[in-house]
Amino acid sequence: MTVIDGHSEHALGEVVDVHGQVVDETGVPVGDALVDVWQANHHGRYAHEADPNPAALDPHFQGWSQFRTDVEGRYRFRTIKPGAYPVADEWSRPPHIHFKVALRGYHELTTQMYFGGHKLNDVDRLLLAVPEVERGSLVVAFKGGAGEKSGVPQGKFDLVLRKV
Amino acid sequence: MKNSMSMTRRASIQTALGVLVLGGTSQLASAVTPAQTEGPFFPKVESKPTKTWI
Repeated sequence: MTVIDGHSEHALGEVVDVHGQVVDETGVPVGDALVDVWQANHHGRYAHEADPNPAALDPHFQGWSQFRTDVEGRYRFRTIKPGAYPVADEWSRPPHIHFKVALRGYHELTTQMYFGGHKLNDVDRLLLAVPEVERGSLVVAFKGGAGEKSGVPQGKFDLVLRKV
Repeated sequence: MKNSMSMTRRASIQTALGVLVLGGTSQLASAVTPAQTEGPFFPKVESKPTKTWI
């Protein structure tokens, strides 16, 4: 997601890799699930006409990708860490990536992945709406970076779907 | 005797906690991922998504 087709320049921001596995409630991998991911850019602005945020657009970042899980239910993508953005006077959203996962025979899942350690996670109204015991499943601790082979921080976000 | 009873009691509590913890872990492992709102910025379907792995 860091380079748009036909563009030579990369998106602004810290590059991160996100990977994970989609399984059902019994732990069985869900292959061929269609996954949409979308997010704000480095400045916290969505490339969407409805976004009222005056922050800058990044002409080299579209903020949306779509792919299918493999036979083991696994997926991975490379993107940039999105910026935080204001929603209301006393509410700013922490960096997050939206996920929508769909496959016939399962309830469609729409959710959001958060970046571990961000101070706005503790006061985000949407994250706090999730029962505390489940909240950690949406927050990913990114590891690695400069010392890693790829030089890119890696985050693992597993998703559990419910069968119809 | 007192020590023995305490140990027995502690063992019972630990066993009970162990069962609870194991039960909790098992339940969490299979818990469906919490849903969150889609929000107002879902991409327009007529646009083409960016490549995933670059």
